[in-house]
Order: sequence, then structure tokens, then C-alpha cells
Amino acid sequence: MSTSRLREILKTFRRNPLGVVGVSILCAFLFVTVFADVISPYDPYERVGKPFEKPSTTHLLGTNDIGQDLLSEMIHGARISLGLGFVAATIAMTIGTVVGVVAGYAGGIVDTILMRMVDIVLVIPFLPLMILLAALLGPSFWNLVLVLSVIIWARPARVIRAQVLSLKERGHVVAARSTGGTVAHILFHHVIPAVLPLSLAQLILATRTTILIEASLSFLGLGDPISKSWGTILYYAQARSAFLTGAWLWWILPPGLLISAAVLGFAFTGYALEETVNPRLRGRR
Amino acid sequence: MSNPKAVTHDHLVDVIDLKKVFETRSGMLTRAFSRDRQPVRAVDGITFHIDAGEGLGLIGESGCGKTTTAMLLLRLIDPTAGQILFDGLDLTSMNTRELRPVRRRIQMVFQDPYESLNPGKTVSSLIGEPLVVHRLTSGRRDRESRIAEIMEQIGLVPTEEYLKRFPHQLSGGQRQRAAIARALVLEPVFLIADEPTSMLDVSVRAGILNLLQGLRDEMHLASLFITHDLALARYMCERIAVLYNGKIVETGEREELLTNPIHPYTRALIAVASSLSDFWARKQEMITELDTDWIQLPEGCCRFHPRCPHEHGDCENREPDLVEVGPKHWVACHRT
Amino acid sequence: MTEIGALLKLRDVSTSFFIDQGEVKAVSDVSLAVRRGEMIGLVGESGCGKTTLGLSIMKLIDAPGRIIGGEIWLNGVDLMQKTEKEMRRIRWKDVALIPQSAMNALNPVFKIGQQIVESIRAHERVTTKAAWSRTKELLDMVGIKAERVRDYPHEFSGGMKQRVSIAMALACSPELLLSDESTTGLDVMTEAQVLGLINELQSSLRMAVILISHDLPLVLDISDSLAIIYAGKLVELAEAKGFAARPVHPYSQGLIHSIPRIHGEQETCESIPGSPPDLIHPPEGCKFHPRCAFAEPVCGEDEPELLEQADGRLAACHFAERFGGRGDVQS
Repeated sequence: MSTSRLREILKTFRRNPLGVVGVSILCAFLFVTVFADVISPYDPYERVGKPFEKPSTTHLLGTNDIGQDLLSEMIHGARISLGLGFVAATIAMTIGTVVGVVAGYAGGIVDTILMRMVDIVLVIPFLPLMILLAALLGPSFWNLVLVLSVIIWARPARVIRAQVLSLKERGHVVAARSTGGTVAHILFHHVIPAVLPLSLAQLILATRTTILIEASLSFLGLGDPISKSWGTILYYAQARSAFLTGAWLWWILPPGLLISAAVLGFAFTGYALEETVNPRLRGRR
Repeated sequence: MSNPKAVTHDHLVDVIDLKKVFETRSGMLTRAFSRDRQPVRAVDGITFHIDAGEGLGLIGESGCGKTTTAMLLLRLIDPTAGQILFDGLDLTSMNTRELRPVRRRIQMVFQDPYESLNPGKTVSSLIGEPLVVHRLTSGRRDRESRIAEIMEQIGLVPTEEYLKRFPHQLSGGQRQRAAIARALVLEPVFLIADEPTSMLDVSVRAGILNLLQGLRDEMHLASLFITHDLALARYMCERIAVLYNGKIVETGEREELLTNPIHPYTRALIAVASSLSDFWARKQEMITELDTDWIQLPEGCCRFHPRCPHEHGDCENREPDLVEVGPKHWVACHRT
Repeated sequence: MTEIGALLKLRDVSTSFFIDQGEVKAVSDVSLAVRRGEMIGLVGESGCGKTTLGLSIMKLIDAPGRIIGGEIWLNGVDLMQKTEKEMRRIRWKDVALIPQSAMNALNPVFKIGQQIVESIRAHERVTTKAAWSRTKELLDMVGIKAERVRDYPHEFSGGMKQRVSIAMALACSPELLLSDESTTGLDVMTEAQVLGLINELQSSLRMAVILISHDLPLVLDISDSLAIIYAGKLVELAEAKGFAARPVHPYSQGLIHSIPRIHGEQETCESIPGSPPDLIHPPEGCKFHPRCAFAEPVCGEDEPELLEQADGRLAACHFAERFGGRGDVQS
């Protein structure tokens, strides 16, 4: 993508208040993720206090059932939750972009087959499927990533295919074909650079979804019990009856809010970005 | 058919009975409930030739098949039937790989320079792209000097000022110049220009026309100039072919065709372009129904007969062939 | 060209658009008079302000645009003094517009008859029945069979839709009709038909017509007089007849010389060098001088006024006499 187009996108993006809020939230999370070791007061895997301690100056959010510091758990949980979501979304988007570009550009029977596959993935009720897959493959980081990407790629593939279809008829792509450019040349020089901004927007929106699904799966106990994501924290909180005691205030509410904030951050950024790169949506405000 | 297809190999381009039928793609439901599912015969058996260095003007209204013809010649779409011979090679029987070296020698300038240039690329990479695609230059320096050379030739000077600009930083005329440079950097022998000035402002049109004319002479280019404007065709081309509803109805040398038109459609076109007030006065004898959708007529009748002011029994039953009425002057009308 | 008895008189009309980058002076100080039964062609390149001028006459300029000065007299009434509510009564009834791409202006979900009836009833107190019979007459006048009033827009071809919009524009028998590139994009035959229709109605109804177009040969062919507009200013106002042989303003000359001819001697066409000016920061003096082959120092300093020349035409050029304007006084 050219620098001038990038600059133009940035300019339009900055005018979108929702986008600015979203990016700010994401930046805050990025900071926490990168400097988790420095910020968190304790090692989340060490027993540093008594079990079920209430919030105090030494443990701002109290401790869990085995005396680990909850605040530190949540700070480190950001790494797992966001990291896992992002990796899964990236893989899904790569699949989605490739499928979308190939289906859109090739057309014909290839398009039909790929799009029927997309339809199948889209109509499968995903929660039962994921529970099944997660149960079959066993809980681990990479299995979760795999399960999530298998589910997520279909929607972006549709969006990208639609973009490629209209791009294929655009004057400059036809012109490039007329100069005798090979399919690879046209795809890499004219089609893919043009869909990348859209892929990026879709990637961010997909991350939102993966974070949410990861939290749900982990909450159901289908996540990796060793690595502590926000969902896992909630799972343990539920298992230790935090809902029934006053502990929900510091054990359940904070990870819940964090998940919501992250999801909102990604959603705001993604929608704003989609609106910026897709002029058809821009006018609708 | 006694068409002007007396194939001699001194023609650079020979188009023989070329056809393109667009099947209206529809699902099961539409097929069951819709009335009009007729295929569209966009180009329906056209035959013409262009010599090396010669300019042919293809005249017609929108929807008559002009642009489809250009797309067929470039093999951007596949013909339903017919042959395209280019320099003795049959383009219709070639696959994509075989076509690549040929495509270098046939280039096209598109109608809309706002659309035909990738908005994310600079002038230098736009003009350099065909060179990269065909691996014509050895290394970057060679390519840059070739780009600068062609930019001077087409009048984007001083070159260093334009090299790094993006299409949106150019005026319409400059964009079309860049598009022409892109086409000519490959040194083609045959150039197709599809309404190259219709999107431009009146005051810059002449510059583009003169540039194309000059380059044609310089590079001994054969060209197919597609337009709806007879005056432009006269300015640019030695011969003119009039296309109506997918068929060539008349073709001849420009002055002969303009001063001595025979087909009623050609006559009406010329009358409209010459003076509207005269045309209005004589409208009844020129054309009956002025405004029609492109009616899909059954095969085997004259395409023009619903609008033709002259009554002729045969026109509804038999399609007229192109007949030679004078030197290089062919007409498809039963009345000749 | 005289103002006496003119139906429409514009005096120093200026319209600007106020955007982030500054004030775009789309139309500046245009004065113009149009008589009943006259067809005047407003010719210029894209972005020269001709559409803005047309919309200004109807006071249809929306924010960020504003008519910043001048008088618009229609039938002895200054439209500038009218409120938006009063203007709504005047539009369609006294002055009607056939817009660019008029065929898309029809609402696809209503029958064409309904659309015309509604626009009649919005302006006149007539019964539905009377409006329907008027609608049928109008459609008949533009050559569309009365039984098609119950058809939807998509059932018509482009040219027919264009004729429907003309019928709609004529629904309240306006005295002034503005046609803004209303035939651009139509096929030549259809264009001939639509313009023929406008021309016919103009003479039979004694309507005044302003034909806004970029197509100089076409305007020369069918209109009575011609106004050439460049960078928001009128540069020449003349009779259409014989104009091609003797354009006075260098810009008009340039336009004439840039068009290939269909008959007669084929001369080499020349384009006008450079491109139209930025209307936020227009050049000092004559707006055309940076592109003018005859420009002299004075052209970059003083803006020439639109002055009457010996043969009655108006031209805004310091050296009009050199190009057969005032110089004709002696000959």
C-alpha cells in the first residue's frame, strides 16, 4: 500500500471519535501486556498470601483460593487472553483472505466450492462444535487457537471475496490484464494490496470475537487450565463459589470488565477502520 | 458470405465473423419465473481488417458492442465464435501462456483515466509495470531511463516532476497521457483506443488526439479508434466502420462514408452530427423510432428494420450481408 | 441581448462554497438576461460554475454553498427577496429544472403517472382527476402513450425516462426551463429526440430555455444565443449564429479550435494549454491569462469587464478589438 493512501486513511480515521477511543483502549492493553512482569506486584503462580483474602493494600484485589494475588493474575491474564485471541484471529484472517481472494478472482467452480464451504462453516452452531472439538483435542493453548481459527475464517472470507469481485471489474485491474500481466502479478500488485486494509479491519473485528469465545470456552473449563487467561480466572472463581460470597466483587467483576473493555476496544477500532477503508460505509453516518 | 474477408496476409489484423453471446446467468428460481432470459448477442458476426499503420474508426451508440469488440480483440473475454488473426496468428485458439507475448504487441487505452490507473501507484511504477511484466528491461536503471524517455515522448515533462506523483495528483489530461505511456512503453504495433477523450474536458481533448496521431505516425501504429463521435473518427482514422446492434452496417474510407453514406442508419447518424435543426426538419425520412431499447430481434432479419423509414419485405426475413458498393465501401442493406 | 422585457435578469450574481480549505468562488458577478421564447446556451468546462449558476437561479444552493450577492429577477420579481417557503411555490411553477442524469431522478417505487400527478398537486389546487388528465396530456406531448402512466420507471428505456422527466418539469407550464446537461450520456439519436422536443415546446409555449452544456457544437447548433463561462465568470455573450466563424474571447477561440469538424476542411485541432484555475486562489487580473496565448502584462493586473462590442455581443477581454470585437467599429 502506498504511503499517500496510508496517510489518507490515518487522516480519516483520526476524525472518527469511536476509533480514537478504541485505539486508546487497545494501546493501554498493549502496554499492560508488554510490561506485565514489571507492573504486576507479584508472580501470579506463587502463593503470596493467605487463601481468600479480601482486598487490602498488600493485595489490591485480594487473593484466590490458593493464596495467589488476583491483580497479578489479571495482568498476566491479559497476555494469554489477548495473545491467544490475536494469534487465532491472525491465522483465521490469513485463511479468510486467501480463500476470499482465490474464490473472488478465480470465479466459476472454484468460487462455488469455496463459498459452499464457507456456508457450511457459517451455519454450524459453533458453541457445540467448539465444545466437541475442545473436548476431543484436549485443552491446550494451540488446540484452542486451532479451534478458534477453524470457526472464525468464514465471515471475513465472504467480505474479502465481495471486495475482490468488485475489484476484478475495476478499470485498473482490467488494464493490467490487458498489458499481459500474469495472474500472480495482478493478484500481488493490484488485488491483494487493495484488500489488505479491509483484511486488517476484519482482523481486528475477528480478534474481538476470538477473545470472547476464548473466555467462554475457558469459563466452561475447556481452556488450558495451566495458563491463566481471564476466562480461566472466571472458571476458578465460579468453581470456588465466588458468585455466592462477597468475593464476586473482586474476583469476578474485574476480569468481566477487562473482557468487556478489550472487546469494546477491538470493536470500536475495527468498525472505525472498516468505515475508513470502505468508503461506501463512510457516508452512512 | 461475400464479406470483405478476402483474407490476404498483408492485413495486420483480421477479424472474421466474430461473435460474443452473453448468457444471462440466473438461478433456478429466476429461470422458472422470469420471461426475459434471452442471451444477449452483444457482437454478432462482425468482420473487418486493419492494415499495419492504418487507423480504423469504430462508430456506434452505447450498447452496440463497441467495447465488447475491444475486449474480444485483447482476449480479455472469450469469443463465442469467429476468428481473430493478428499478424497471421489465430488469437482465438491460443491459451493464456501463448497469448502473453502477443499481448505485448496489442495495447489498449481505456476510456476513463480515473479508473484505469491504480490509485495507489506512482506514475513511474505505473508506466514501468508493463516493462516489469514482460521483463523487457535489464535492471532498474535501464527501466528508469526507458520510463523517462516515454514520458518525454508523451509530454509529461519535466519528467522528474511527475515521476513520483500519484494519479489523483494529475489532471484528467495528464492521467490519460500516463495511460497512453503505459500502453506505448511496450512498443506495440496495434493500439486500441476506447473513447479515449470522452471523459476529458473539451479544452484538453485536442491535445490527446494530436498526441495519439503523432505517435501513430512515429511508431507506424495500426489503431482501432472506438467512439460515438463521427467528427472524432474523421479526425483520427482513415477508414470508418459503423456498428449497429452488434453488426457492422457500413464501412468505407472516411470522406467517402461521410459524403456518400448509403445505409439509412449511417445517414441518420451523419445528419444528427451535422445539424440538429436540419435533422429535426427531415426526421421522418431518416429514422422512424428514434428511441428504442436494444431489442433482441430474432435471428435472420435486418437489425435496423424496426427503425428504418423504408419499407422492404425482405428485411424481416433475411439478414443483409455486407456488399461492396464502391472501392473499399461496403454496406449491409437490402436496398443497395 | 437587451434587458428590456427580459423574463430572467441576473445582476452580479455570486455564489461561493465555504469549505475547510477556503472560499470556492464558483460563480462571480454574473449578469445575464433571457427573453421569453429564447434558448440560451451556457457553455463551459467541468468545474467552471455552470451548474452552480443554474442552481443559483432556482436558489437551490445548499450548505456549504451560499449565494453571496446579486439580484435574480424573474418576471419582475427579485427571487433573492423570497423566503424558502415562497421559493418552493416558484420552483416547478415558474422555473423548472431537468437535472443532470434526470433519469435517475424518478422514484423507482412509484408509477410515473403518480409522480407527475403529485408534483402537479403540490403546486396547484386541482382535483386528482384533473391532474391525471393533465398528466396524460403531458406524456402525450413528450411522445409517451397515455396508457403507460401506470408503468414504473424501470419499464422505460433511458431516453423515455428522460422524456418523462421533461414532462414532469413541464407539469406546471414553467416560463423558464433549465436543462443541466440533461442529454449527456444519452445516445446521439435519443439526444436528438429529447433536444428536439425541448426545442419544439420552447417555440410552442414561448418558454425561455437555459441549456447548460459542455458541448459547444451542439449548443451552437440549436440555441439562439450563447454564454461562455470560465472560472465562474462570463467571458463572452453572443448570438449563436455565426459564432463559430468569429469567436472574440481567446478562451472562446480556444474552444472553437479544439473541436474537430465533421464536414469541410479538416483543420488541426489545438488544445488550450494548462488547466482551469483553482477557484479558491484564482489568478489576479483576467482569470484566463495564465492560459492565454495573447496575454500581456495588463491581463495579470486588471480584470477585464464584460463590455459590449460593436456587433452587439459582450466580451470580457482587454484586447477584444484585436479579435474582431470593437475593431469592427471602423470596418
